[in-house]
Amino acid sequence: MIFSKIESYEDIIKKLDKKEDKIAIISCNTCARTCGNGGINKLNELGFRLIRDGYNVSDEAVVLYACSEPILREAKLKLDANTIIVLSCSAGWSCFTRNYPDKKVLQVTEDIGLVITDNDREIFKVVMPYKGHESEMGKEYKINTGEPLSGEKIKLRCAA
Amino acid sequence: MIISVRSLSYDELKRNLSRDDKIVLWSCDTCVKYCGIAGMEKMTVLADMLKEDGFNVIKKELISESCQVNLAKKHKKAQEDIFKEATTIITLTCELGYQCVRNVFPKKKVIATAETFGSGNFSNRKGPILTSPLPTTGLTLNPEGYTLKNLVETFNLHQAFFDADKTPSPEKITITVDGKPLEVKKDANLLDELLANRVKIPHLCYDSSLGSIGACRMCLVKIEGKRGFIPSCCTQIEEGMVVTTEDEELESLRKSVLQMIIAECGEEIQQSRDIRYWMHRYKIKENRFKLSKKEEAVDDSDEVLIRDPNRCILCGRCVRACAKLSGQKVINFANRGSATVTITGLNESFANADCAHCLACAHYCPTNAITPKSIAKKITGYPFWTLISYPKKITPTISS
Repeated sequence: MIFSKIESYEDIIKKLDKKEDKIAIISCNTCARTCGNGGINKLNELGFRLIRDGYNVSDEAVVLYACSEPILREAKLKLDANTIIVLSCSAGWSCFTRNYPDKKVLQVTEDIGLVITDNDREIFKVVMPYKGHESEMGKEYKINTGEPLSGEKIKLRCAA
Repeated sequence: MIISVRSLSYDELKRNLSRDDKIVLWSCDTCVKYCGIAGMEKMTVLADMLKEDGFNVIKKELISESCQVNLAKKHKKAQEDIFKEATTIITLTCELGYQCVRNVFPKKKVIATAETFGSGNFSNRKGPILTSPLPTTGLTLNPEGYTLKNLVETFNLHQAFFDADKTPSPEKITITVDGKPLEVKKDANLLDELLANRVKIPHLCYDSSLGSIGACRMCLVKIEGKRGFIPSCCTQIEEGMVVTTEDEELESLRKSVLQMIIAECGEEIQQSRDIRYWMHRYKIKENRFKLSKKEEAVDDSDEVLIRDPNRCILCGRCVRACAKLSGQKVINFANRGSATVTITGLNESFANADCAHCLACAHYCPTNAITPKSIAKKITGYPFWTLISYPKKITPTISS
């Protein structure tokens, strides 16, 4: 799985134009949901706050994988928007950038690393960090919220 | 998806093994499968190669998502005796899956076969592509992506699966199918071989990764010397077998079975691609049985999966996928005979059933009775997408 962190709401709205932008919010329901940055809840929350603050949100969608073109094709999204916010890792953002070349696709998350998960204990652990996040190696977080945890519950036996 | 490329050649792999090793092949069924280096089919190829070279492969273990430690633990528990006996595990997984296996089997020799490069997409045109490389690759973020071929050339790794061209050809025998001779693998599953030789046989409950239970009775054939109709999915090939896959009697039988399945489930089931295909093939326009008016509640309590019992044909693929591939047993059969149904957990909602969301059930369901949830809505104007659920309670968690 891929762990990404969402930017603050203030940073997201800095990238938006209240008058010009007609916004679609697309949320990934796999890795991003597991890491607390996607899924239905995050989509609803961001949509609610943008609408409340007067932004023109025209479409909202949850897709199983934001990084798969066959899934995008199956979803048959017909977006009225000219701006897309993708709540997913950078791979999901790349997929939308390629598939909607005429729209502004905003990257509002930052990849932290590749993780292993333990659903029974609701933990995920960073095992292969991305550039600039090397200090995250071995850190554990709570599934669905991305809340940092202390201690080490999943032991790594050796480097891959 | 995670992008991985095979990092070991077959000779390098053999150098890591000894003749005394009792080997388990462990394969993930998700990202690496789409990168072309894992899955049940690939595992079978590698097992055949190793066996031919005198190595002792005692088990092929397919896991729905190998990067989930909890699933790996459940596989270990379910096959305790085999894993106690095994000395070596060869992982056809990404490096994350390898880490999980190392975690769960600390005392075994675990061999990684793939190198992970980062995350990427499955592109319709190019297949798997790497878009977000890890820092160790020295590559930069590229929405257009690096193809697997690029990676193989740049990092001097191995294209495709283990020396595919050198794969030993298994022993072949000749059987007769519909009056014509056909070369097939000795001792293989009849349905697998018929499908591999492009003989079209309807089947709903069978998948080579899940094994056979002969539940749907759609793949019935006639075999000379055997009484009645035989489910090809449950039949092992024998020398000199004479098989009939198409004749008037079989067509009429399959038509009836299909009509009964449709009648039992009602109109909803006709939306499924597989069912639609066979209805078209057998020119079924009207059902001669009375359609059921089953109106069971759709379970959309879970945040990832939706279960529609009205579309379930009791083929048992989800039950087997959940038990065999994820090791969870979240989905089961309940009751008996005509009252049989599939249930989640202890007949509770999907949300309360302790599902690990590995998606194996949805992936193998032939009728979309279990599907991944996708919600889309238009904020203004008429909602043309189906709105499945829309939670009302919103708790802000995006930091301000």
